[in-house]
Amino acid sequence: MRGTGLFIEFLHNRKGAAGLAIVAAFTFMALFAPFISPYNPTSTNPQAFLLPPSPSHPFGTDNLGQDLLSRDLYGAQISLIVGLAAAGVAVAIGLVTGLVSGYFGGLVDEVIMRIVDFFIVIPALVIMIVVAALLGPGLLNVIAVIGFLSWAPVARIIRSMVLSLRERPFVESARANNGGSLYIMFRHIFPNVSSVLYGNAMLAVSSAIFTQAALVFLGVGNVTSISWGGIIREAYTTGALTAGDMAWVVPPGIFIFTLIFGFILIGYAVEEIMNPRLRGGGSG
Amino acid sequence: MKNTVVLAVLFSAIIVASSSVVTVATVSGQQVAGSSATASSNSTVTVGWFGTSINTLNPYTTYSALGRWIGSNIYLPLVYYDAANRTVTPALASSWSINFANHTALFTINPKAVWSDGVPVTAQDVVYSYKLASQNYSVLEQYVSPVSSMVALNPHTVEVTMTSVLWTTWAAYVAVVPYHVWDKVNASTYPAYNTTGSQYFVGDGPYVLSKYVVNQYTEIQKNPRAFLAGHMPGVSNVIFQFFNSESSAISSLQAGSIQGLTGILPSDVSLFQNNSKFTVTTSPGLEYFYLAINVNPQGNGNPTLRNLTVRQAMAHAINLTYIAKTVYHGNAQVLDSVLTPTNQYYDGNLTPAYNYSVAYANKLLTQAGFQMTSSGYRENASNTSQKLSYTVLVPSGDTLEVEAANMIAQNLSAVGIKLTVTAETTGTMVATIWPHYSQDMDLWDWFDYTQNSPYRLLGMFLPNQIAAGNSDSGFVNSTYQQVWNKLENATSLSQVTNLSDQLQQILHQQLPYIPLFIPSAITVYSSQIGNVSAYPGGPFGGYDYLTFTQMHYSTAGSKPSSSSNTTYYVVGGVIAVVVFVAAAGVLVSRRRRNN
Amino acid sequence: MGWAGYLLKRVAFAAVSIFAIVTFDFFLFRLMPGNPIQILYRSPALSPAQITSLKSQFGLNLPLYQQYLLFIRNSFTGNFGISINYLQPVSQVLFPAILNSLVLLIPANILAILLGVFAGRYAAWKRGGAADGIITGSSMALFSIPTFWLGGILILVAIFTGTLPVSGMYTLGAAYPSPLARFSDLLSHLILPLITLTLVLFGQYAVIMRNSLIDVLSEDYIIFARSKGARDAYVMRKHAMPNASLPMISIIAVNLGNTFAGAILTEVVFSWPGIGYLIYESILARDYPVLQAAFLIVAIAIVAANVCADLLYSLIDPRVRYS
Repeated sequence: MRGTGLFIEFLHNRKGAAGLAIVAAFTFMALFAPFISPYNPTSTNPQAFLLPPSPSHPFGTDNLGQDLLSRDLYGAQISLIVGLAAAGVAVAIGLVTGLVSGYFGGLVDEVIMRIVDFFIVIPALVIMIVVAALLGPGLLNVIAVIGFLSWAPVARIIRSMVLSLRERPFVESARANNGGSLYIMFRHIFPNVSSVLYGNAMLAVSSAIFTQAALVFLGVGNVTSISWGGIIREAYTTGALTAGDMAWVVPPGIFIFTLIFGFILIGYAVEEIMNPRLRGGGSG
Repeated sequence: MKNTVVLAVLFSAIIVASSSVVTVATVSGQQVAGSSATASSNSTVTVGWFGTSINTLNPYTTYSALGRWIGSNIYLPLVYYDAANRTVTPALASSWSINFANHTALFTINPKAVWSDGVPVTAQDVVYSYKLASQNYSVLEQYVSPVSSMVALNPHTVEVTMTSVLWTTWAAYVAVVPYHVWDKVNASTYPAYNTTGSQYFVGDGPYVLSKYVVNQYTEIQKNPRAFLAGHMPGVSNVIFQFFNSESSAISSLQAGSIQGLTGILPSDVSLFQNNSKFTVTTSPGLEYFYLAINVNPQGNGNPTLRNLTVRQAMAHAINLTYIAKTVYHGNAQVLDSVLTPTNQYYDGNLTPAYNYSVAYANKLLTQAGFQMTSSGYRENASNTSQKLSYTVLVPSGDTLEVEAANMIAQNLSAVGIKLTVTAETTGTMVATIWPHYSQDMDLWDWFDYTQNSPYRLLGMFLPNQIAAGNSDSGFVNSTYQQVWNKLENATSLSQVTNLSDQLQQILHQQLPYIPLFIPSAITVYSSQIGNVSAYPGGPFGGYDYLTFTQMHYSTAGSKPSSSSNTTYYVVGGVIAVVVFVAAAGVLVSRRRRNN
Repeated sequence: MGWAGYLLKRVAFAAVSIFAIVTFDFFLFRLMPGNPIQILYRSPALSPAQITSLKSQFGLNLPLYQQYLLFIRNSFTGNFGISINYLQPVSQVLFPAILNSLVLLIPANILAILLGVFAGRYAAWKRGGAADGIITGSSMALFSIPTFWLGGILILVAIFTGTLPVSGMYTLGAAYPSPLARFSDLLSHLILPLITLTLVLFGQYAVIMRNSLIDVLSEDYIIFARSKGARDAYVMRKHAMPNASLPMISIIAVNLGNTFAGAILTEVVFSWPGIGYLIYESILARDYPVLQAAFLIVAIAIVAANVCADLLYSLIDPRVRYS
């Protein structure tokens, strides 16, 4: 099987293996947070405000006496859900528009590409703040905001690949055999763009995780549920940052950073496997 | 390929050139505008401010507490109301006589009163200012509405005919501005400042405006023609610096670049408590939090909230003492009225007391017909579409409010009421509530800054406040309206007290609001500052008009720290530029050789 | 089509894009729930008559299409109206903020691009070696750091060591003996935000430079040049770098939007009074006039940068024009 071979190659790629390990670790954290957290992340305790790290509270407690380690563990859930779902939305839209645009060309292509240009040049974060205010703070809304405003780069890459694939003999022959457009797009072209798609999907996940954290930090979106961006925001807005409460501020940042890094590593590994020239160990 | 190199060099040269032009332009531009800062003597106190910054210093259009506060140092009202002592003292008016029976008042203007440009203050200024205050655009209109007419009898006397006996509300809060300046401008859009500093803004208070940089800071300096004995400038310059968060203000306080800050969060007090460089004080707060319940008869919220028993059960189910202790670390007082305890008309004897009792709350809900279901939440046994499941809107900008809402949700969950906390920006909250009342509840705050009047906050429960976008509960009650009408026509101050008590009692029993708590105003200031007052709201909280006239500031060794590092940064900057230029030079020359 | 024709086409397209962006933004802002008057003047006892009067003062009572036409017409004359939040001409609010942002953005971009190009070049050259690993790894890591968190950590460090100011652009109330002292004060305030923004931007430029150089290095003509016995360093400078720089130019232009977003987070963390912070505040206050004008200018800047990059590209590589 071609897929299995690629997967083995992926595991042999150091970046890929490391990235996968990171993402797997955080997935474990998110899934099993209720079992591995030492405390209920929302149980408050007026006798235990702002405790420094100790064996019973490894990351200390926050201004309400909530255990920060437990909150950091639970925080993985939102990041992963929003990251994956928003990237899913973005990649799906990007894929379809890219395929259609590249395959049909002409006026369709022109119109879609102008829309893509539009979405690429507008400062996405600002528009997201506006649209998030419009839609309200639910989790699904946050996913929609991020997903619907970050598909343009994917569409552009897919389109450029389709443009060159369209002229290849196997597509031409399929067309000569009166294959339907949809059929050709998904049966012949899609498999050939999927490798690039996977790499870009991973980058889309990492940017969605970043964007979600940034939006929450700015007070936009779902600030009531436990998330890493939210924990950092609480540290800023309740003065823990200036009090030098390292155990509050540092871990969620490291977690966001590591998870994003994990997805980026996977993305680059996929890209390297597909484009071996980028590989480190190539002929010098 | 030579083209590329040339273009690249050209491109970077353009960028470097433009960036240096921009930097130099900024520096030199700020230099000119900042000349007043250079001229200031060394008794400059910088005060930190976070939260809403100012839109304008026009007292008739500013909506921000800071704008009002700065204005109160620039423009005098007729009298001062001292909330700490509950007394009325002279300001622009040196004496007054009130005829309660005839609803008239006579004010004599201080003969020494003079504007900062030397023009004497006259009765004409007062009449003109009250006319501005009564315009449609004016935010002071609510205060002056009891003033039915005001005439200048002579240059030093104004006579007022009023509909209400509560004269101190307008006399203490309506600023008087110079007619000879304001008549030449469009008062509705006049910002009362500009950013170039070329215009001189005329006032009669202890200070005049010297500088305003949008989104950064405002500076006032002492008015050389200040005349009001007992209210002469205490420090020569005051800078109000805006911060976007408490954190950034705190770090500036620690670094010594600001000297005072009110509104410190309880969790930050420990940073300053055992440090001899700082003094920590606690004043009664003016900002209080409440849970507004959508009881509007035409509202689109959950109809079970119009059931008084449900609201009573909620009041019993919320453990306010615990939440105040947890969220505010004990620095908050549980509140039972919609006026703050320091308000002159606050009623401290409201009945019944809603004591925290899960058992009693459960009993009330069961009696009202709401049975527990397998989901863990209650619904009406005879009409299962009536579920005790609500959402509460809370401003996402305030972390402590969001945390309090989360804890209320936990409390209510214990009695079978499901509460979903929805944190929104205030813009979205406003649009959800008005005009359709689509919310169930909202957790928000009011500032009770008119400490000598019950009108402002009690008036909010009138039906006419629904269309105005102020009444978030949508409360409609005919008894309340009747008592209010009596209050407006009261003939003595004791009657005002009596009727205000009745209104507070109606609200307490009908529960359109569940008042939550009122945090204390915590202030930290440099120990070089002396004689700071204990006015409600804190000395730098935006309400104490006396702060800067009473204050002492010993300036020994208080130079801003960064100027001493000048050489350090200049040397660093020069080295960086030299390295950059050398690197670029080496690069270009190497390319040439190769070509 | 000649170069002039190409230029004309690009400029026409740019004008249309700017118009589209501005129109989209105009309606998007007005779709946001809540209106500025309600938000700013939330005050007990504000009568409906007062609200109506305030709305008409800012033209908010007009039908939407009229507000739009008025905005477009006035934009051509440079009249952006009065800010609802600050009650003064938008230009007086906006232009100082833009200037402040440029003081931060331009040096940060130059530094990031220079560092990125050098690091990427070095990594590509030492491909597979330890240096490549370190550079690629750290650029990817920097690319992953949340801007607002990095800023916070720098603030923590600065507070603990007591060395650098952590907010604003100038020390307030400071008496400057000379413009130089004022400049050094600005410099000291600039350092932390500058480091934050530079580090965050650096990562992506380094990775892109490395990858595009490696792509070029395996092209036939480079291999051919090497096989002729040309020195490696010479091939790099003479053949590889110029070609690999091409994608960088367009990426820098396309990235301006992102740079701008990174600037918002940095400006908010360090209370830097720039345009990002202003836009953020204006969104919260629904200050339509400021938002419209700010987005018009941002759109012009980004689109113009893209056009410039395209033109530069087409000057260097004539093939682009005809594709």
